[in-house]
Amino acid sequence: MREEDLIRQLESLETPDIELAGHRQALRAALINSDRFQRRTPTGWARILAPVAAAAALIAFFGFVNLIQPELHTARAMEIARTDAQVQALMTEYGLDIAEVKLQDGEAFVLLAPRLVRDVTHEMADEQKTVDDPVSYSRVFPMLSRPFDWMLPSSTDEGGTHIAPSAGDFPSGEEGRLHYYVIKIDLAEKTVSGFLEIDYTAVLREMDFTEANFAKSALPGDVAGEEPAPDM
Amino acid sequence: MKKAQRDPAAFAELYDHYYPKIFGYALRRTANLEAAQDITSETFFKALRSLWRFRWRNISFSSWLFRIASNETAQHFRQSDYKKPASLEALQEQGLEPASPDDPQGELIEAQEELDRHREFRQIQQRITRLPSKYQEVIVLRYFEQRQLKEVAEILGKKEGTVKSLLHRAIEKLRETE
Repeated sequence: MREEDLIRQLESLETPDIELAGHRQALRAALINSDRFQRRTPTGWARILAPVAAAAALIAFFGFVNLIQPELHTARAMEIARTDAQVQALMTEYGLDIAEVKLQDGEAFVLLAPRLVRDVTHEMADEQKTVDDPVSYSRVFPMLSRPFDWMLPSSTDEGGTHIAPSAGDFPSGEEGRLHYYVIKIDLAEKTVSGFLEIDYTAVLREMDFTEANFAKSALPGDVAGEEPAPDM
Repeated sequence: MKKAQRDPAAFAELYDHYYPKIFGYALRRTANLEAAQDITSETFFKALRSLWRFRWRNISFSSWLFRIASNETAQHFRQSDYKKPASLEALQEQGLEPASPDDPQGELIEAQEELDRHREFRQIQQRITRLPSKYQEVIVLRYFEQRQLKEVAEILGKKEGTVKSLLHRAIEKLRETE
């Protein structure tokens, strides 16, 4: 067949003009009811946003429980401790301040430590170290063994050279002892519920107070030596 | 067009207008009712998904829709399970009997009967199917769909001169299939 004849045949060819009404209707319905249009309606948006909202609520809840709530409890425990009359008396008597707060089983435990030791304790807590660590021990030990070292006036000789204090310059016995107290806080009642004097050997977060016996009162001189130290 | 992206009723209007054209094109490309249904369905679903990307500036909506259908048809031929044109006998062998007009199966049989009546079309369509896809589409668009070269060029995204050469070569190839 010549090219012109083939073209003429193609141009004059009768082609089928068929329509499938069933398919046309079914496809129409499928398109109109597709997700593309569903999500444009309020119900469609609600269906899409519901899981997102649920996820956001879960994140917010766990974020509050794990991050915000502990911070709030810590701040509340410190405030309760600072406003308690007996705690204030301890702080004044032994030069103590709040060094650390631990939350355990719905209660708060506030460590009162001598002011300078408190600063080192904070650093150790940040670095997750204890006094068992040689480096940390070397930083804390001088204060523990010679507790009032930093309180002594510095002295110099005639040439201006610093003179180290002699052993006799340091207080000894009960006078030279450092005091550490753990204050138990009832967060629900917003009250101080117990006092425990401890021998400070570790950071608060490593101590377990489950079995510890807290005294009801902490009048200076009454508590020391009465209560056993907690298990470390 | 923008309304059709959000409003089902507006999209339905477009669909009603273009469904016969797209289904007809798919049928004339494949001579297979089942394949034509699949290609038409896929074309409209793709169009719905991509409607937000469509811009009037470069191409008309009709050409854009035909381009999707053309790509879908090419994909259909590429698939290994390419469906050979179904005959009425084959459909009846599958248990399909003529039924009431509301019955989709009956409608399918009637459509197959109508397709079979176009014996000359079926013969030449089978020859066209043996050609590469690029030749098939220019022949069908130009002669079966009776589109101008400019329109064919717009649908295929090619220059008019390129389409003219393609068409010339396609006719030569088709003559060789005799």
